[in-house]
Amino acid sequence: MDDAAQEALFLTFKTVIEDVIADKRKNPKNTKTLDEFQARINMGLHVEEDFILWVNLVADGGDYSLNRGKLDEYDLEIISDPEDLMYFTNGEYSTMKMMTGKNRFGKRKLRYKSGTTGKNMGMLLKLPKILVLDKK
Amino acid sequence: MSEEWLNLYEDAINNNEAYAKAASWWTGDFVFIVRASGGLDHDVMAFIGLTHGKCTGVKPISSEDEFEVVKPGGSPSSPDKIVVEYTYEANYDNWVTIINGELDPIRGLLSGKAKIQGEMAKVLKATDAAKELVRTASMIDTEFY
Repeated sequence: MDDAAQEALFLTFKTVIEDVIADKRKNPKNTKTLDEFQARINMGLHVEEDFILWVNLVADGGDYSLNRGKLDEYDLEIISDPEDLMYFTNGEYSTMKMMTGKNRFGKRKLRYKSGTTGKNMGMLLKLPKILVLDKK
Repeated sequence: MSEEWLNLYEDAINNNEAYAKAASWWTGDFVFIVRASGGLDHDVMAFIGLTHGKCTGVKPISSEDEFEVVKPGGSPSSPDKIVVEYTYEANYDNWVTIINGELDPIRGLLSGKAKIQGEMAKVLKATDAAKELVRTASMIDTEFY
């Protein structure tokens, strides 16, 4: 994947995350969850058989930021094909499907590892509340 | 995207029951932008009006000055401009692969082969409708450049 395509993917993914959070904030029921979620997550976007674009999502005090690269200190690491993440975000793929189904590279759709701060499985289980869009 | 092709596309969308069902809730007009590449030596643009599962109109656009992407409820910088909520842009070669069903329009965005301007969250809720829009285009007998 050339540099221009990597940048385009990063910008598209950043827009997706920002717009998903903004959309969820339209529903007051999500405010507490979004504001209380604290996390530093390394996200590997598996776009080619042998290439993963690393980005990181930091949620702090209701602010969410996505940047390129991996954090040295993080709570969780996940790897997924960004297309699968989009279908997870729009509710088409369930958490179970993400955890047990295989992606186009023959890997699990969502792979996860503990972070440097601990196992943080509760954080993983909370992700759908943050990243999955409310029904239209 | 000649005027003739666009008219055929409008009719095809309006006869596509699967699109009507998938996009029954959708409001948001598009400009499709085809950037010059391969056999196409100039950019091509077209307005596609899309509301509640129907195509409300199509129009070739000759310049990027003719339209403006505006969020719902917003106002364009000039009343003469065509207001749309989204643009979907790719070069000609990638559009051909999309229309031929070889490249999913969502995967196109994530591979850097296509770009979208407008609110992504709403588009993500409409992936089935997006696929039907592409499938509709693939049903038209198209002469490529």
